[in-house]
Amino acid sequence: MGMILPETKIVVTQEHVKMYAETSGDFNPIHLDPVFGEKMGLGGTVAHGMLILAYLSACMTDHFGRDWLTGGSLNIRFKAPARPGDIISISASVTKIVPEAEFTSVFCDVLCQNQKNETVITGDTKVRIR
Amino acid sequence: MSEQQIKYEELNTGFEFSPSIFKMDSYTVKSYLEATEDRNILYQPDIVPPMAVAALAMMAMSEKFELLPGTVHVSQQLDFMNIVEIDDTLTSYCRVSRKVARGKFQMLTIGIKVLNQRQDNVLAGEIGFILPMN
Repeated sequence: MGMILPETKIVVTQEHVKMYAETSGDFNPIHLDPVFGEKMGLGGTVAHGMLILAYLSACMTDHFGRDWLTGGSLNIRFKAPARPGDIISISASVTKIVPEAEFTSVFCDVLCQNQKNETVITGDTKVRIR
Repeated sequence: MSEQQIKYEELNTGFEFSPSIFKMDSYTVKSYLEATEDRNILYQPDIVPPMAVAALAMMAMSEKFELLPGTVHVSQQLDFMNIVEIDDTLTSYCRVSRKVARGKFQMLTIGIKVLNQRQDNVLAGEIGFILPMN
């Protein structure tokens, strides 16, 4: 308990935001049009929350492998937008380990922060390890 | 031809959207992995990242109803239950779990579950939105 999993850093780029829009079908102009983002008071474009969450899920896959794909859960809140150019740090710390009959449940607190230490995503995860 | 979108005002707690069917083809998955810079070899050659399933299920959901300008995606809960492989055909089911007014805002929560072609559950969860009241 209290174990901190290796932190991952990722740079958000407008190119990846554009690619994510094309893959997900989410073409909301707040993600793609800097002028529209300015008009909305966002100071430019912002990344899809689901893109940042994808980075977080990818980290959990790196840590837990197939168990994350077959027994992973996440419960998060989007606290602030991430913007192109931001460096997002993704961290997870184990809060509880519960052995059960056929698997062990590992609970983590997860956090995504930008380079100013502002929280972008906060929440918790659970994974059943077989 | 796409279905007519349901107006936000017509949504109420318990409302069930018609199911959406979509296929996880290799082009979509490759594009998703590039967009998310996910290079985990676990996905090679044919496993689909669970968040790619979530993204496509949300896209299918968003085609069903009109999200008002100013809508903010505030929370996400997801359970991943079974591996999805390339070329699996998935069906997503969405239901309004909660729609409540809070001061100048409305909170909308939509429950989602996704099954594969063998009727195995592959993903379930809830998506939370906040919308400005008109």
